[in-house]
Amino acid sequence: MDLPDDLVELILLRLASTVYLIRAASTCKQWRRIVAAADAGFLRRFRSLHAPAIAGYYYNSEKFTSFAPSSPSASASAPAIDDSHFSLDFLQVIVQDIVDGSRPQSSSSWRIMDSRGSLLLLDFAGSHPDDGVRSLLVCEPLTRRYQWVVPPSAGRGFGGGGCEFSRAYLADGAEADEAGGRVGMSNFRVVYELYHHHHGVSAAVFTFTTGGGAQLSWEEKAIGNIAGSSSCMHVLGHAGGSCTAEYSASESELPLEADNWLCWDVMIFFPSCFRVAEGRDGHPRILTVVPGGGALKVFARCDNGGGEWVEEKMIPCAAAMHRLLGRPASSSSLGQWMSIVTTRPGFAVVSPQVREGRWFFAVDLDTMETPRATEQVQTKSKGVVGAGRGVVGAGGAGGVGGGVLDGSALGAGGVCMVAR
Amino acid sequence: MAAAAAEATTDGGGKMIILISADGKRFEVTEAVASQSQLISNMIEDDCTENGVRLPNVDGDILTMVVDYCNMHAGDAAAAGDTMKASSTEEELKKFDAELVQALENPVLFKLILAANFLNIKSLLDMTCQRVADMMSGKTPEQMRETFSIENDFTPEEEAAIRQENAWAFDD
Repeated sequence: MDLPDDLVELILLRLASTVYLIRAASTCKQWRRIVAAADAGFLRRFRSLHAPAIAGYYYNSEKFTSFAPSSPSASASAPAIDDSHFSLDFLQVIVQDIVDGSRPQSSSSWRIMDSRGSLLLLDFAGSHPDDGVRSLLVCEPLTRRYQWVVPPSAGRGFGGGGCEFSRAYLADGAEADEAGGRVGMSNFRVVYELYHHHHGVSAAVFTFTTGGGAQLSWEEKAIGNIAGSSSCMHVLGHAGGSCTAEYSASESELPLEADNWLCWDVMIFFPSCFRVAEGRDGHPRILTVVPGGGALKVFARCDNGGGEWVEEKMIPCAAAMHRLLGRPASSSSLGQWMSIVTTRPGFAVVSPQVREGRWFFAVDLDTMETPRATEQVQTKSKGVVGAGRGVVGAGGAGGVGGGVLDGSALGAGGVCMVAR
Repeated sequence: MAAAAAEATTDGGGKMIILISADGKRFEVTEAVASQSQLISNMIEDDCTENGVRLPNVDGDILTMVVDYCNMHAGDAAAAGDTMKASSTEEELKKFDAELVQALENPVLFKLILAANFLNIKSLLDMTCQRVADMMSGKTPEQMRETFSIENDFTPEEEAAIRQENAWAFDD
């Protein structure tokens, strides 16, 4: 092919999938040079044009942590990736190597806490009998890389003593890396949510960035005292993945059924049955299932994300549920038959609570689209539920790198989604 | 001859311009058709098309395609005011575009990309680049090399390393 670099770039930018991009970059030196340009400009442009789609779901179950592809079929624009690449089996070796004194454990000891970008945040239950502030593992299944997140005084005592560690989240790195990626193995943050007896809540933020040398840092910040409400208030989630870590408290009134709530930059305190989601505009949203379960209500703050919370839209889900189940979902016999499992920027994953087992589907918060069961993959491959960014520039000399999967956060249900 | 043509007008209005390919073939087109090329549009503005526009790096057979494409799409632009007509031509245009690129063998397709780039016809460049990208979909690196006559200039060691690094992307 005798085309100059700038024209080859125009062609490669139009490839439908990162998989084809990686293959194209393996054909000859010219193409590889273009894709893996030193300034990472190509990858940045490619990302800005391609929203990734969901390849499947990770979920915690009683026996093991599993990956379920969203569909076994491949479509033209999003080729199927062999499920084995999503396996977490490699974690067993990590346990043998790193966790001192532990016997090799099955993957049942790993629990997924969160995911973002191409990353999973895992908790290894087997090595931590106590409930102290423990080490967590950040890994990238596709490339089988991992990084332990070790609190400065792992175990009891971190956070001033007497604190309980309840959850942790993955957040984007402080700044986009050279390839324009916000989150990847070389650039991420982990936010620990800590409850202090009598002292409210704090967040400890672990920041990991590489670039001229690995940098790790810890920072703990009080995010407010929840006077007299610690029993009924808890952190619902985080929005604004940039996690600017300015936890200035700001109270407002919310026209919801809730009495009051507190909002910090990355965390929103709110009585349960509400979930926090991040809009594609970067501003937080609050979601709730409409009583009866047939729709999602979305609240946003007016004044470009700075003002009061107002109802933004209502997204009907009954039709999607009907398609998924093959019958009308009944609210009378099942009570609230839909729960919000997890959220990611721009969409939420909901799960009908039905006898047949667990089902998941994504609801786009912008387009209000819900995929049809039979078209789930196709719908997703259009990037309707696209969450993060595609190619993660991997290490290595001029490496194009793997890591196209994009994860989604997970809640108590322990489901996370991965995109390719 | 050229001067006479340059003075001529068509019922669509506008001056005529002569395009001259690398191998000396001459194409007479309206300004409206020619100015879809940003390059020629600039030349028209600068008033330097009097004696025909020489395109030393575009062959006659490629220029034939480009002129066909521009004729087809200029008609669309002229009919933009007439909504009924415009909507019917939109379908025809899509069909025309699809047939144009799908019929092409690779070396010709690349020449067309180069011409679209040189003449700065964005829609044609977009369409031809997309066609190549579509042809790459679903192919292994070997198949891509075969399709586009790309020489594998990696050493076996380099290629193995690349495959190892991105193993998940190479399932067939």
